[in-house]
Amino acid sequence: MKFFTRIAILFYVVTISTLGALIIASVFVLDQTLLDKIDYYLQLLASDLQLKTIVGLIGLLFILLSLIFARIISGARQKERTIAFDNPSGRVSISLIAMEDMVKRLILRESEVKEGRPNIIATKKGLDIEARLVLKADVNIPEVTSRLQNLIKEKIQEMIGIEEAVTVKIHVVKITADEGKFKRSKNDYPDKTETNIPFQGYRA
Amino acid sequence: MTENKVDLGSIQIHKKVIGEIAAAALGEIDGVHLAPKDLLNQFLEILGQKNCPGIDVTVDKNDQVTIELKVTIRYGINIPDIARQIQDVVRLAVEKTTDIHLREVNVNVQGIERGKA
Repeated sequence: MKFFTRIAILFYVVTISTLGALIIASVFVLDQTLLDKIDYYLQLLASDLQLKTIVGLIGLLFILLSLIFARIISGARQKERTIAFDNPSGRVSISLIAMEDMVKRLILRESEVKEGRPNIIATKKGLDIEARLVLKADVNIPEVTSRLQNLIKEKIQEMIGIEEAVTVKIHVVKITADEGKFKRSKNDYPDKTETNIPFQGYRA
Repeated sequence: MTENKVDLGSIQIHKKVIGEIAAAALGEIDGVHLAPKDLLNQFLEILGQKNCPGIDVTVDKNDQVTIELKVTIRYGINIPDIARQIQDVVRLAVEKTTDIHLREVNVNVQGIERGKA
């Protein structure tokens, strides 16, 4: 984690904790004496222009700091979530979110897969793809997962054209029962009227 | 803003113009769209500032122009091929229209569009 990110997290934790502590304290400690003191300080603030300016500037500084940190954090996150290669005309960067979307569509095309949630991490060694799958029942898991691994790997290398190492990890999180199989239709049961019972209606 | 000096005076071309040329050139490529407007762009549009979302034109100290394009691409298209095509088409369109030689045309693929491959 970078230095500025740590500072930003610390800033937000301290600010929000202080706010929380003040709210809790106000419930237990608030009495007339404290209210009088707060009133005194507010009146002092209202009457002194210099004090007003200082407090206003502190508030502005807090807002600016907050905006800068938010920008740093979001920028850093966006920077991490892309892969790039250079062409003679300039750089081409591909958002990993876009690639995750692509992998998801690829996974869901397979009839054996009910749900899929891919996560792509770009490392120095290459691309690490982890796909969490929900498979349908009666599926040969080794066969399906191996096919999916090859499919994802080939498609990624074909689409982004990068000869980087692509590792595909598949995590089967759930196997759902195929509802159609367990719900028997009326046709599955033979019609009683059609059954041929010998001596039906015969009375001795 | 970029400046070209000719015998009779100087010609200034605003960054927005280069951005609009790039946007028009991109529109001719099948399966490529500019990234959708973010909140800031929507806010600026409400205030009356029209700009091309997803296109960032920068001019450095030496008057060298760089274009950064944020695009979404239709599912199934080979990204390096389409990126190269985008770079060529945009470079050609800007150079043909303004006589400005682009230093770099950077393509940032931000999404894959849902559509038939």
